[in-house]
Amino acid sequence: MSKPLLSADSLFKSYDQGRQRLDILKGVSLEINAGEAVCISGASGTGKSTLLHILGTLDRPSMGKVFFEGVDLFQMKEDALAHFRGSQMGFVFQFHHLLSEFTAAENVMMPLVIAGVNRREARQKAEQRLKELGLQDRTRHFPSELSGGEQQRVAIARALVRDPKILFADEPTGNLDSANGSMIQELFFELKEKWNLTLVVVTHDLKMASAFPKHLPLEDGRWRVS
Amino acid sequence: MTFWLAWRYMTSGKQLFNMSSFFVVGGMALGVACLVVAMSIFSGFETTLFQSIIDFTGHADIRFRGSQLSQEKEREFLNSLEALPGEIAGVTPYVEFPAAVAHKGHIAGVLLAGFEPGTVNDVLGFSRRLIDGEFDLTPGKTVIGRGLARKFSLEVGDKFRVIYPRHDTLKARQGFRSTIKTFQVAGIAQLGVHDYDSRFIIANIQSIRKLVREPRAIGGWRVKLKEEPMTAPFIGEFRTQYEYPYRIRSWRSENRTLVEAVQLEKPVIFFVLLIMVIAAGFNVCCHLFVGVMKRFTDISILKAMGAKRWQILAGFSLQGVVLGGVGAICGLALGVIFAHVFAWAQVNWELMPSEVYQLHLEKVELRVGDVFWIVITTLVISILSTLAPAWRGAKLKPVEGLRYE
Repeated sequence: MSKPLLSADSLFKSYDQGRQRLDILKGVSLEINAGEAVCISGASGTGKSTLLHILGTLDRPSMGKVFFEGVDLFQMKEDALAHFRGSQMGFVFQFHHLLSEFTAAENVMMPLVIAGVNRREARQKAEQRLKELGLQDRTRHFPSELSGGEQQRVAIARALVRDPKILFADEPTGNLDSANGSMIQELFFELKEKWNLTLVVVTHDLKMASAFPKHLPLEDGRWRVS
Repeated sequence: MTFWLAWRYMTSGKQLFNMSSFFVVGGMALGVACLVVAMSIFSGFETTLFQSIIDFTGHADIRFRGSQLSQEKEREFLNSLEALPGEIAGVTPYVEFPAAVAHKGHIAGVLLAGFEPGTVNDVLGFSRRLIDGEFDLTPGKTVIGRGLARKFSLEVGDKFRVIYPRHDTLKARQGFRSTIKTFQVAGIAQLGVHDYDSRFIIANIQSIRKLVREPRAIGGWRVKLKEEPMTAPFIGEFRTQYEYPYRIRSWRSENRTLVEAVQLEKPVIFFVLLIMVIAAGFNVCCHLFVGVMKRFTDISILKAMGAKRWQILAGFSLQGVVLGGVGAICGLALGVIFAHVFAWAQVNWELMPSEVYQLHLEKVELRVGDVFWIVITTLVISILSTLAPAWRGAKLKPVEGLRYE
C-alpha cells in the first residue's frame, strides 16, 4: 500500500488561559491520500480550523506529529518549514485575506516572488492563473474593487499559482452568499479534477460537506463516532 | 521581493504619505538639520581659526633668544633651513615688542610687530585680510587689526602715538625711559583671532628697531612651507639640529588652547546633537511598530505563502531605512539652508561676537566628511530603530494573524 500524502498522528492542541487549560484537539489522527478531497466539518469551536492550521504547518501541535510523504514536518526549522509550505501547500481562507495594497495580479504573483521568481515571469504566470479562473479583466483591480466571489477566486488563484500538491481551504464559502458559495464549491471540484489536487476543506456547512467523497465530522476536539 | 514589498507598502498611500510618516521624517530631518548647522559652524570655526593663525604666524615660528646675530650668520642660518624636510615657500624676519597706544584719552597695551616689507607677503596673509586701506609698510605707516581700530575709533589715515618703555640702566630709580613714535594707519585688517585683532600693530621692521633703539634686533623668523603637512617633520628635524638660542613652534602651538578646544568640541557637539537623531529614531521605531501591528494578518498570509523570517525582517527594516534616508536628505537640505541663513546673520549682526568666542567666524563650511558621517550615523540609527518592530513581525507565528479574524 502506498504512503498517504498527509497523515496526522494523535494531535493534541491546548492553550493556557490564565490558570485554566483549554483543550482544543484531543488526539486527532488522520490519513489523506494524494488526489483525495476531504472535508472536515463541525460546529463552531470544535477545533476544525485549529486542525487545518496544524495540518498546513501554520501552527504547531502541543503533542503529536504530522507527516507529509513520510517526512515529519515539525522536525523542520522555521525557515525550512516556510520554504516547504510555500512550495507544497496552498491556502484559501474564509476572509480571502488578499493584501489590500496590491492588485489582483500582484496578490497572485506574491508566492512566486517570495520564492525568488523574477517579477516579469511571476506576473505572466499570475495573469495566466487569473485567466483560467475567469478574472482576466480584473488583473489590475485592487481587492476593494472586486466582489466577494471575485475576491475568493483571486485567493484561489493565489493558492494555486505555485502548483501545490495540497490545497487547504478554511470555510471558503462562509463569507459568501449561496450563489457565490455554490460557484466556489464547484470551482474547487473542477480544479481538483483538472490538476489532480489533494483538497482539504474545513466547513460548518453540512450541505457542502456532504458533497465531498470523504467527510470527517469533528466534535469537541475528536472525530465524531457515528 | 523584499524591496518590492517594502516599496509597495510605503507607496500604497497608507504609509509614506500619511501624517505619521510626515512627522517621522520631520523629526529625523530636524535632528539632521541641527547636526548639519552645528558641524558647518564648527568646521567654519576650525577653518577660520587655522587660516587666521597660519596667516599670522606662517607654518612655523622660529624665535631667536640671543642678543645679536650678524647679517652673515643670519644668512648662513637661513640657508641651512633649506636642508630640512619640506620645501620652504618663504621666510620673513620679525621683531615683537610690548608697547602702549595712547589715543583720544584712552590707553591700552599692544604688541608692536615689525616685518620686512619685501618678504612678508611670501609668508603671511595680512594683505588678503585687509578690510580697509592698503597693506603699506613704509616707515611710519602701520596696519592694525579691526578690534584695535574699533577700540580707539581709528580709521585709515588717522595718526596715533605708540609709547615704548625702553629699559634704561642709567635711570636706576624708574628703570624705564619712554620713547614715543607716531604711526599713521595705512590699513585695517580682519586678522580673525580676537587676540591678533585687538593687540597687534603691524609695521616696518626698521621703524620698530628705530623706536626701540636696537638696530640689529631680531625676534625670529616666520616660515611658510609649500605643503602644510610637512610642518611636523620640518619642526622635528629643526629641534634635533638646532639648540638655544633658537626655538621653534608650529602654528598649531600658537593658540593651542583654542585649537584644542575647537577640535575637541566638534565631536562632543556631534554626539550631543546625535541624541536628537536617536530620539527621532524612536519615532521611526514607534511608527513601524504600529505598521507591524496593523499588518499582523498580512504578515501571517505572507508566511503562509512561504515568506521566511529574514524576508519579513528586511521588508520592514527597509521601510525604516527609507524613512530615515528621506529624513536625512530633507535634513541635509534644511541644514544647508539654516547654515546659510546663519552665515548671513553672522555677517550682518555678528551673532557670535569675536570678543566672546575669541574668533571672528568668517564663514560656515559644510564638509564632505561631515556630511558622510551625518548620513551614515542617521542611516545606522534608522536601521537600529527598525530592528525591534521588524523582528516582532518576523517572529510572528503564521497563525497569529489569522486566528482572531
